[in-house]
Amino acid sequence: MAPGRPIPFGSLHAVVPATLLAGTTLLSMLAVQPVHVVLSLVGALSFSLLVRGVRATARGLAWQLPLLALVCLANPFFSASGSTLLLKVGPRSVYAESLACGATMGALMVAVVLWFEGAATVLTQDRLLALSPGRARSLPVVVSMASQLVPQMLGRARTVRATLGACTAAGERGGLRDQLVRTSTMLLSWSLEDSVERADAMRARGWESGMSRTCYRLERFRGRDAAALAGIAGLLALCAACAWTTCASWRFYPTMSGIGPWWAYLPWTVLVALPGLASVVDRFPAVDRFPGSNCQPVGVDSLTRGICQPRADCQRNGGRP
Amino acid sequence: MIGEKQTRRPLARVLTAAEPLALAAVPAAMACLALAGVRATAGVSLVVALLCVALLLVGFEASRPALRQLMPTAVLAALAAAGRVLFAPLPDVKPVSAIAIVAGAALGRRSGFVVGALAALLSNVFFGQGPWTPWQMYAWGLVGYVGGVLGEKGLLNHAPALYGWGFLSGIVYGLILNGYHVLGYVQPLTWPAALAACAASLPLDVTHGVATVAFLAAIWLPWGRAVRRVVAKYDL
Repeated sequence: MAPGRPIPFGSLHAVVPATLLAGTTLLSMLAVQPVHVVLSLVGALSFSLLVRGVRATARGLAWQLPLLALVCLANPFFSASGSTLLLKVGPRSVYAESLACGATMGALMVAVVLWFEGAATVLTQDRLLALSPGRARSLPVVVSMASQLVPQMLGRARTVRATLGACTAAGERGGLRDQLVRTSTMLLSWSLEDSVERADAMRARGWESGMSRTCYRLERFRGRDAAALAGIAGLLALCAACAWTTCASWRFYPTMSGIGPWWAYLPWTVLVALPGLASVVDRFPAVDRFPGSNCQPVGVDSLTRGICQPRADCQRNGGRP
Repeated sequence: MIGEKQTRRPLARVLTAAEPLALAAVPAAMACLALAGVRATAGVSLVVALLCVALLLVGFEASRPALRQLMPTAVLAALAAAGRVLFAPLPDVKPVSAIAIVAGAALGRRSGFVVGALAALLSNVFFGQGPWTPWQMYAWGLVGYVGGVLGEKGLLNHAPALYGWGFLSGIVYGLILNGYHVLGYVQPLTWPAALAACAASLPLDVTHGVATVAFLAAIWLPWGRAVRRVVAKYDL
């Protein structure tokens, strides 16, 4: 049987990639220092290339790189500080330090956007729902229901307009504004009435009958998830400590100085490379590297191509391992 | 009204008291960090905004609304997100603020916040998630929350207050979204720089405010009637 499409971090509980990506993004935003930012940008770019593909990343870079240039060039004009005068544009002086600070900020912005985009690709909605505590019921149901309703409403809006257009008894069409108001009000009433019926149907099927929420896909927190989480937390703490020292010694103004020892950047290099490396590891198919994995890719001949399924033993035992 | 039925538990009462403080803490933190010249303003203020959004959402969860009462919130959030997608070709013409205000007035301040925040989160599935998502969630949530507060005080029945907040919401939204960008990514920040950035975005913010007023003028009566009708019909 051919292997299914690999899912990045599919073999680990969702909390592991969530912690890794959230921690990396947050530290990137807090450690505003050129070396950290450049390393973060390289890591984010490689992660994006691996999980989103070359085309999607290039499409994003088409607006992100001009943005980087804009932030870089705008900074000297907003805040003229520094000691190395590069040129004078009218009454404004452009200093190298100010330009470098702008470039750092622009690169930081692009890196953070890339981290977010990569994280949004890896942490799909069902995996995020697995992160919310089992006792939280209201918000997960609102989020999942609203996300299902958005495409349904876009389709229903067309149905309402087509029905009104076809029905001569519906009266005068009116202007564009009247049509929009009428369509949207009908859509609202339709969806509200539907949703109350849906709520009653959900109650009839046992919603709120247990203390904790049930889920479509089981995500079990195992020993190796705990180990991975502990490792990531340790690495994040080490990176934070190193970043604290390097950022404290770094100065943009009046002259750029205080870059710190090279080994202080090692943990950060490992951290920003980790998401990309993990997604490469998940690309190697077939062998069950982690027996009893959370999320086994299934065969392409199945209808559930690319969708994770709980293991058969979990299904047989009603969700209990 | 749903908002009144939601607050029963002690935890929910504590969270209700903390909500306005959390909402006010975000701009206060942004201003303090920028004035102090902290280099990592972007990161720290993002954490504050995330904590604020999380606190409001936990407050909604802790109020344990019944399943039927959740439905109008989900529907309005989805409509706001769909409306933003439909009006995407027109820059800064978004119905999200107007729908969040209607939701706040009809369903209570917490539902107003949840509708605004979820509309931002869900519509960004189409537009792309990024560091702006938490800020949009906060800004539109705030618009809905204030709409709910004004609605609870009965002020939104007066056209000047309704349209006044509608217009102001565009400016507030713009200030928050531009504020995080300017305060976080321009360093060292000077007053002329901040004012120049605000002035540059003013036409777009005014467009957003005017569009919100136009959307409110169009949907306030028919949508309010439709929501109230369902709330009364099913005793939500």
